[in-house]
Amino acid sequence: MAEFMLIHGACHRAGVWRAVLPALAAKGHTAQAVSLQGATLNDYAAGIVAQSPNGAILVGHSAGGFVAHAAALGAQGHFAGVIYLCAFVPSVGKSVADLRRAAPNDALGPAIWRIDGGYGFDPNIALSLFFNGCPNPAAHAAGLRVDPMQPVQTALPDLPAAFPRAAIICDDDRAIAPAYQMHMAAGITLRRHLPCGHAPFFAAPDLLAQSLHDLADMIGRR
Amino acid sequence: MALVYLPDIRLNADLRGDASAPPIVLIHALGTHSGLWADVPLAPNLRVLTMDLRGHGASDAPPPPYQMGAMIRDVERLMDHFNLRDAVVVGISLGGLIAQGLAIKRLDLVRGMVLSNTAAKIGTAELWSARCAEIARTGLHPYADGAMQRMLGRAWRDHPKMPMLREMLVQTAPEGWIGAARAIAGADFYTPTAALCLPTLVIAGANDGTTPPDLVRETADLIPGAEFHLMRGVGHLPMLDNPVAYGALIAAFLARIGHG
Repeated sequence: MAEFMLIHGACHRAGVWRAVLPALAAKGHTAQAVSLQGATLNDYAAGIVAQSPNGAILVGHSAGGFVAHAAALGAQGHFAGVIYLCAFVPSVGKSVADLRRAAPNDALGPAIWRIDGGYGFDPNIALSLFFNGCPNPAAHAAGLRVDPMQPVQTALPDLPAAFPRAAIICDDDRAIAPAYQMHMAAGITLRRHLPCGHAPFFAAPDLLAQSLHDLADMIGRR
Repeated sequence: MALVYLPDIRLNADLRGDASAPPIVLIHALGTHSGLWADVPLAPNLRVLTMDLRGHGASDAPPPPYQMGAMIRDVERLMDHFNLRDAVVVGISLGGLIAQGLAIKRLDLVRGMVLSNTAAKIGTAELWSARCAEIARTGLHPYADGAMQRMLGRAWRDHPKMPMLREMLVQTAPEGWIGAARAIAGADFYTPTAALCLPTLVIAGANDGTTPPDLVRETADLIPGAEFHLMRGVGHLPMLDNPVAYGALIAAFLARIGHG
């Protein structure tokens, strides 16, 4: 059975995975919802490597795709693979902010507030941008926090081609267009689709757990 | 449903069905919204995109006038957003103009069309100018009775869907109605539609006074191989008059072209 490290996205918290943890446990997996420590992508990555068991699978949501990627880069033998969940998938020389701006339609840009050297999302916009199809979207929008700017402005090199990678595309995503998710995941052959928006952990935790289960199985068989 | 944030506008859209299912896009008529399609039975094995056009429903209503090109581009951008290609695009009235425009512009997105109660050109500039002036002056409430009569026929007062349709119309922002009416007034697809060649079902309503069967038939004749179907006992909005028969017509067309 697999061990997952669940990495939240920008301005989210580790608590977003609360319904996914028992769903994974019910399938016999262990999982940790990671709290990101520090103010840089390297801090985040080092913290994850220190917490994670050998052979764990990294799961990065949204901008957390970069965090997962950074953790994998720093300790490639330590992790079994990385799963990008409706995420920004790193490509050489491009940061999260670069990828966001390069999207055919940058829906996130107008939602960003710059505050105290960091940034957050306008909860009124986040309501329908992130939490469409979720029960109680207003509570989730109100739960967003302010993040430091530096991690989203850091570019990363590629992982080796042999490193197992998978992508989950959310087909009703309003924040990162499903078409753009597929474009960014063009080099990734292991894929799953979920019929929900940008917050699958709220909208479809059981389906998400099932997809992670399937992908872990496929990664494990490589 | 939820908004899709495009750079210049927010559009209310809904996508249902499995990612691997064949896509179908439903485009509503002037003064209505995506709820117009609610009663049409569609096979569960389809991926269905519905939206509120600009100026309608819960989508933003920028100041009028709108260009037909902008309304086409909105649907194009929604399809690109959701990664839909090779869809069957179903458009009624205004939606049918948009469907034609989309097929002309982006044939990669459109596998087939259902053009319902529509034409390559609807009404005249004078007619639309007069209606726009009236609505700018009085709003949509006084206009609603006449519109109900034109769309639902003589028995409009007793039509079971009349209250719902009337509510859709009067809830439409007048700027949105005027903006989209200007787009219709400026659209003439006669020549480009005559160059289209793709599987097409054209549906007319025998009692349709807005886009009468002969006008709809003329549009069908522009497209080589288009199937024309005249529905008896229905007016301008057959999905309200007889949703089951309307859905069955669409389903039969989808089956014929192997879509789903």
